[in-house]
Amino acid sequence: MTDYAAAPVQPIASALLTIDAAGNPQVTGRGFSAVTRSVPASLGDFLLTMDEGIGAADIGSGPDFTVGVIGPNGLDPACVRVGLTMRGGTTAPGVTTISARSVTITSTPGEGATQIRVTLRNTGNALTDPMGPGAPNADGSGLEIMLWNGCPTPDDAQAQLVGPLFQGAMQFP
Amino acid sequence: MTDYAVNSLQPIVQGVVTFPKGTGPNSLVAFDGEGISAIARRAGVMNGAYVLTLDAGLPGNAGAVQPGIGILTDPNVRTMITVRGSGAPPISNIVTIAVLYLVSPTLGVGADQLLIVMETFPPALADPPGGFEIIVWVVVDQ
Repeated sequence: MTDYAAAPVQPIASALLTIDAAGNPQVTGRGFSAVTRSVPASLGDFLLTMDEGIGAADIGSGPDFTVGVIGPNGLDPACVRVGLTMRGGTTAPGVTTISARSVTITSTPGEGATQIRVTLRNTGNALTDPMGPGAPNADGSGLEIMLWNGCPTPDDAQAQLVGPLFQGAMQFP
Repeated sequence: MTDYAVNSLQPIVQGVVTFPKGTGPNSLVAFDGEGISAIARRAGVMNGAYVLTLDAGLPGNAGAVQPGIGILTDPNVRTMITVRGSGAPPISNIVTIAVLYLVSPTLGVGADQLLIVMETFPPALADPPGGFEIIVWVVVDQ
């Protein structure tokens, strides 16, 4: 079989960023252990920490990293791939005001990237949260965040990711 | 090589949405790909809002994805949309893109439709003449 330009990617995180009733960001889903507003605190500007997970005691990886570093073990910043998708807001039929979505990879020498900074701006170019406190608003109803490692070895790429579309792996409880 | 918090995702939809007869109020919209059995404009909305019905052959419950508690907290599905450019140079008129997961009125079925909404600037619902790409994943329990 051909493996023409096969490009395995390793899914690291798939999360939903929302705002709780107190106005604080929260993250659900997988792959992130914490979310805070960036400092100084602002609307639409968030710092997400990746879950150390099973890599916590691993050896530092990636070019130019210190050899032998024992966790936390971040990603090579050059290998991080992120997708950001807004969930629709309260204005029919479900539009969002968020137009600019960006991500910055935060890297620590010797550790690699363990955090990402996500910023959202509306069509008026103002930093804006993806929803209101505890409820959807005209801006949206949350932000979907996906993060991949774009430099895995083929063995690291999960079969579910590169396998057939209709693989029968999903189950409802 | 780290396997830092590896997360399993399952692609359930991938394809391209186009406008075979061009964009315009209530013009024909088409989906070419896998995982979607039907596409239509949102009822009563002439531009920029599309309802995609998940293929009933998808794994899970009749092609649906398990909903969260209300529309806010569905943790089980992720979507990525990329607008294709048009014209020379090929650019996009789309400024905002939003997705919502519509829960079937049939109890227990889950979310079996996607609602995609796009606007241009100044904000107004609009179709992208070049169409758009869409990928949908569900989060897979390990």
